[in-house]
Amino acid sequence: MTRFFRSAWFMVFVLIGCLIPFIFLGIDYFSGQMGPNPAQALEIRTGRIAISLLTATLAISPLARLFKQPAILQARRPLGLATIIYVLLHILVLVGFDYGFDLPILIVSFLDKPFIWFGVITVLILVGLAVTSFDWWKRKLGGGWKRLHNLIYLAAILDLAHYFLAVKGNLLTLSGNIGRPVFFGFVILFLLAVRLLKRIQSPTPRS
Amino acid sequence: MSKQIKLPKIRSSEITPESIYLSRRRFFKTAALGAAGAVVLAACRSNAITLPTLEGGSTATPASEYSGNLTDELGRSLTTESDITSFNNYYEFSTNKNGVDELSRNLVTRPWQVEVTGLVHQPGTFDVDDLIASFPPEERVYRMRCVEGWSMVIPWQGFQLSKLVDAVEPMTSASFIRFVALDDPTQMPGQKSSYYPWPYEEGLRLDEARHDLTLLSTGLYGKSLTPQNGAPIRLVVPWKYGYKSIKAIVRIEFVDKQPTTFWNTIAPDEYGFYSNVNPAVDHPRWSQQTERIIGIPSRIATLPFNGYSEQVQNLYTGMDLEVNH
Repeated sequence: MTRFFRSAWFMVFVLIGCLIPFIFLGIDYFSGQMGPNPAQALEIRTGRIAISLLTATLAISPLARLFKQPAILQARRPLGLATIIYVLLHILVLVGFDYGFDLPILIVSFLDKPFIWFGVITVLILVGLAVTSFDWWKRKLGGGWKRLHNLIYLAAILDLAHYFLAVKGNLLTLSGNIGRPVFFGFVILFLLAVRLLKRIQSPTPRS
Repeated sequence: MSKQIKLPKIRSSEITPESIYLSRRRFFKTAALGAAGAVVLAACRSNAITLPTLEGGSTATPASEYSGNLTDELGRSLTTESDITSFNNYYEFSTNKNGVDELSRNLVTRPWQVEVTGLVHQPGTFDVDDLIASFPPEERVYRMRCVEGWSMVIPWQGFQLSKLVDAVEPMTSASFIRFVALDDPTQMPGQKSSYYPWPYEEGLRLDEARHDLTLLSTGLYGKSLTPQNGAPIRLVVPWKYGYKSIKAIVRIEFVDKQPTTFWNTIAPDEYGFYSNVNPAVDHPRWSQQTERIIGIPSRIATLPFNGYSEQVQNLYTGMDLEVNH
């Protein structure tokens, strides 16, 4: 198993995993499976893929520790980059496909919508992390790089807020279409708790 | 005009025999009166009531078949039948609008009873086919605007709700109507989710219910409603967001207080009782200023009252439509 995780095959496996949702989007779109309102269907689908990949990215280091396979950590960067690619696709669908890049309409439609701002801040953080994900930045920022990239947890929590506010429902009364956001909420908070627990156990952060 | 309307009430026993009896009796009675042949035919199918508009050789042509209209009065093209029957917001089956068609296929819509109850002088439980046969069928081409920002143009067949309201004689204390949809998790898998306050309920003020535009629909494009579109009988209130137009109605209750409604119970700030289409009042998520007409690539501006201001704005004179959203 250790050999598999260290081999190039593991990375090929991860990349294929990241591509599969895109292939299915393409197949469903061109075969008409998206139905009569493909803009809305694509917005929902790309959003779900993005939060799934973000959650997977967060799960990598706990999994590596659980299975004592540090080589798994290699998957984190490609998963993180795939996340931001799907996020950008999500935005492109809304801005371009749904609203035809009509900036004035987009502004009046979304300027005062809290869910959009949670989304926008999430995107800004994720773009910052993607840009600084390369080795050059890692060397340049030294210990600060690790702290900077812990922002992914903030991004995940803001993304959850975006998701909860984007569905028809009410978190406080646990009613409406909130099954999926509740699921992702549990997983992300669990992963965050695992990380905090580890920090309490070993106060000097290991890389 | 003032002829007393009587609806056939269903007794728990002998449903079919009674309706056969009634239809025969109606047939002989009408024939004996020497009414026009068309009326006799209409009465043959009807095991129900005689309506003033169908008697005495009225020139009104029942439009139970699709008239062939291609646009609404604003010139907007009709949404295709396949889009209308494959893209459905129907949480009783699924939150996936493209999946309702498949999941609802086996919904049993006959026999189907609608209970009309509450503050009325003539309450009763009526078979849906008796209702259909009792009131003049009409075609209405209406815009349907979903709160999510998409819309359709649909040729409905059905009858005006006001006809039924008049027939059951509301008491003066009745000021609202509550509509309740089928509650059957064995047939409606979405109702197994405990996140929702099933059954689906909606409500109208009595004057909104009596408005000429308010329709009880039993068909579209000249065919009986499909389960995914709300068979066998649903409400259509074209100047309100789509969720007001409750599907698969089993109970119509006349009440003296504003009824609770499904989406208002879930998120009161987001879904008001009135829910009139209003581009000036945004939903927390969706701008209501534009909409995407299904089948058409670009968005268009949403009209106040969904384009029916002229007909309905007098219902809301003096009301703050932002507070009463």
